[in-house]
Amino acid sequence: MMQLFRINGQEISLACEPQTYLVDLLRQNGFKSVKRACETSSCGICTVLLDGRPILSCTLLATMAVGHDITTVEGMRSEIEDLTQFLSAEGAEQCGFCSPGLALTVLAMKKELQTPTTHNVKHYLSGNLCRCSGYVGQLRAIYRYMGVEA
Amino acid sequence: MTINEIVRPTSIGEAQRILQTKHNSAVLGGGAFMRLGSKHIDTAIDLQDAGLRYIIDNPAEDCIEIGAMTTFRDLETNELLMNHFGGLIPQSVANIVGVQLRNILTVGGTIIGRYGFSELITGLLVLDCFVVMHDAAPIALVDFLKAKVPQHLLFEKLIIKKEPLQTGYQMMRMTSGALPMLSVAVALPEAGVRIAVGARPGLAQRAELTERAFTDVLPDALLHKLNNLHCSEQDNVGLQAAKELTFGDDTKCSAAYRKEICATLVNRAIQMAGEVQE
Repeated sequence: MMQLFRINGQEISLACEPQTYLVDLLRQNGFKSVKRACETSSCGICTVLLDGRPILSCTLLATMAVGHDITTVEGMRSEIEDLTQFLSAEGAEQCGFCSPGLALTVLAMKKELQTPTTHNVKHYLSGNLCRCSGYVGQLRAIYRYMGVEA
Repeated sequence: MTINEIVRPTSIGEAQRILQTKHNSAVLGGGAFMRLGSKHIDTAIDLQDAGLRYIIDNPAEDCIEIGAMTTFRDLETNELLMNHFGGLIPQSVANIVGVQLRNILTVGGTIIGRYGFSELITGLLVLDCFVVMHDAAPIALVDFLKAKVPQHLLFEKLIIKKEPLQTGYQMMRMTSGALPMLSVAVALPEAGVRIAVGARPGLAQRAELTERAFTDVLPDALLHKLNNLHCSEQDNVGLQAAKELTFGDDTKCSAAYRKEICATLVNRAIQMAGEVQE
């Protein structure tokens, strides 16, 4: 069944079965920045933005996203490049598999939290797991990016 | 899970008609927990266009109303809820997995799902909270949880009566964001104490016998008893609640462990409520 989705600002008509999850719809249609990992709604790696809010694309049925703005890393290149400068400067990245989900969550956090503390930042990011970095470098970079005094 | 079709009714009345007339239909809620099952649904009802996502102050009835499609993140960040009941509701949902999942989970999903691990239910149980099914009279949450879920009615909203309360919330989990091994909510009205314990691992329950034993005790006296190093077993509210409630084993921890931490978490929640009062 064809349905009209709004992905990265563009209206796109895509074939979508009722039980298709958003992560599969996006990957099948070329949005390969969206990664599938834990399959238990726990790791945050499949994060995309729905109307600017981070959600787990492995948990949301794609049909439920019809009528909303879906944003992936492909749609936020310049903002992501800006954040990447901070992450690179701290040597924070290793394998990079969790980076798209983390980056989108950080961008949403920057819009949502006005004057965050380190506690607010950690709390907002607690749903993004990384299995190789140990978080310290990432957090150092994100505090700088957010203008939070660590 | 397999689904034949997803429909998006634009009113709760229309949604309820679909639920009652379409064979093998089910409400999606946020759809988060459903995905873990292997159920087949002919007609899945997505309520996002039915106007059920709200948290409103109702001064005429002196209550707060929360719609079925309100997300956990809405509860966590809502100013009205932060400023009522000692912020108990935002606190109870704030540590559930991550912000991404809390943007999906709905109040309706947890109330109808009646999950044992539901921290929201633990928190709501110590408040004067009512469940409203569409076209039906409100029923107290505590009674709703004991009765069978009405399959032909659709959950519309929660009504929480405003009252001056000091509250405390405590839980134990393996790691930040993991499901809780135990969750505890406490409310101190003018006299007495209300205690709810969830993730036992069964559905949250009030410690009714313990509450009755402390009915007339004022908050100050309750705290004084707990802060006394030589607090007797009878005066130890947490110990009494742990003795009264039943606990079970699961992959997270044993019944014995839950019983042990229950006493401590109840007492800590009472102390937390008391600190806020001062």
